[in-house]
Amino acid sequence: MESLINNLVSQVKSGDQEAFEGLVEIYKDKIYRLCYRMVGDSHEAEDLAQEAFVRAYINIDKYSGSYKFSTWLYRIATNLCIDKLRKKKPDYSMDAEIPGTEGATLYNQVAGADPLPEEEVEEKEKRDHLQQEIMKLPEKYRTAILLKYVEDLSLEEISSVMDLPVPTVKTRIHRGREALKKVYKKVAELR
Amino acid sequence: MSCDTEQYMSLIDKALDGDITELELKELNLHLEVCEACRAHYYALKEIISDMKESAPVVAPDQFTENVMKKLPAVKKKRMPAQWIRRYPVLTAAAVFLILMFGSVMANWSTGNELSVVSGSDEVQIKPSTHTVIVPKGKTVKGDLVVENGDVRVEGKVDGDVVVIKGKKYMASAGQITGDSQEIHQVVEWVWYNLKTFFTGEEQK
Repeated sequence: MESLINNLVSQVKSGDQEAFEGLVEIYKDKIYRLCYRMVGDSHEAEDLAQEAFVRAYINIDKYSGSYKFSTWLYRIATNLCIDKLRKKKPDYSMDAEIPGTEGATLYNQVAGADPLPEEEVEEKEKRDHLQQEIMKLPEKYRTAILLKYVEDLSLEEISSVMDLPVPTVKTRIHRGREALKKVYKKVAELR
Repeated sequence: MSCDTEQYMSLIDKALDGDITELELKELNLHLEVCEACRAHYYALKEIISDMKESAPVVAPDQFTENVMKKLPAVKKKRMPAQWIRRYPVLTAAAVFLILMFGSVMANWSTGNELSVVSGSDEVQIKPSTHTVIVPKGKTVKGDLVVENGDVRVEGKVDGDVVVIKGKKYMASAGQITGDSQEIHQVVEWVWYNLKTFFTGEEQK
């Protein structure tokens, strides 16, 4: 796998645009998933993931091969997501009460899709809730947590993606984990 | 918590990071059996992590790859020279040759302002004082007449082409040129003329 990727990368470097298609195919799900978890919106995630690939293509000469290609892609994607999040900081929250109503939030206003079996509903709620909680984490914890547990990267890889020393990465993962645990516990108690 | 929290917290973190040693794991497991607080903490974190891992598989939307490919810049500019040489070796060689040729011809153009008759000098009168070359009445120049840095006055006959570089051609009423006549004033014309004579093999001397 690794040699296939290196092959494709060097083909792209020598000007073969079609070889890049292979790289996109290999990594699109991972990069899209990361963006989705980072920004929590499928349209934005798609735009960001595409932009990440386009940038990777334009800057392919800057990729030296001293670390994995995937690490480099993750780095481009996380930076784009963080930029995006910072730009749209003053945003409304789905949890916020709609003015003039009592207890109605935007969640209640969003029409549900086809009815699902009860178990699935519960599972889905739990997942949606987890995503919501992830979204509330500060970016730096969020990035570390997602790379570690959703993308399953090693601490060393995360350290090169985030350009931080391994101990700092660890601290961020621990803090993010703790923060999630606190809010998650509350939900469990509410049930 | 009734235990040495700090110590076990760091063990729990290590376990969840996946860089715990076997010995430490044994120690942690022994502790978890007896300490409820640590156990609850450990399993709560574990649940969150497994939930994150198992959360619905997210896949890229349809046509993701096509859309990315459409957005890519058409051609990579930076790689052009290398690509060109590899793809069109003959063309590249020809281009290099033309550039060098152009360069040497250019050098010829700018140097020297002296009147000279490059070819066909046998029957003509050269007058450096007025920068003029005269083909006298009744005389015939056999072959082409090429003059540089001066005017040409044709009173007799030229049995071939007349080329005047950086100068003018005057015809007397009795003058006669059997071939083409041409005045060259500009570098581009000069280069073109040189290339033409080079390729058609019409050597100047």
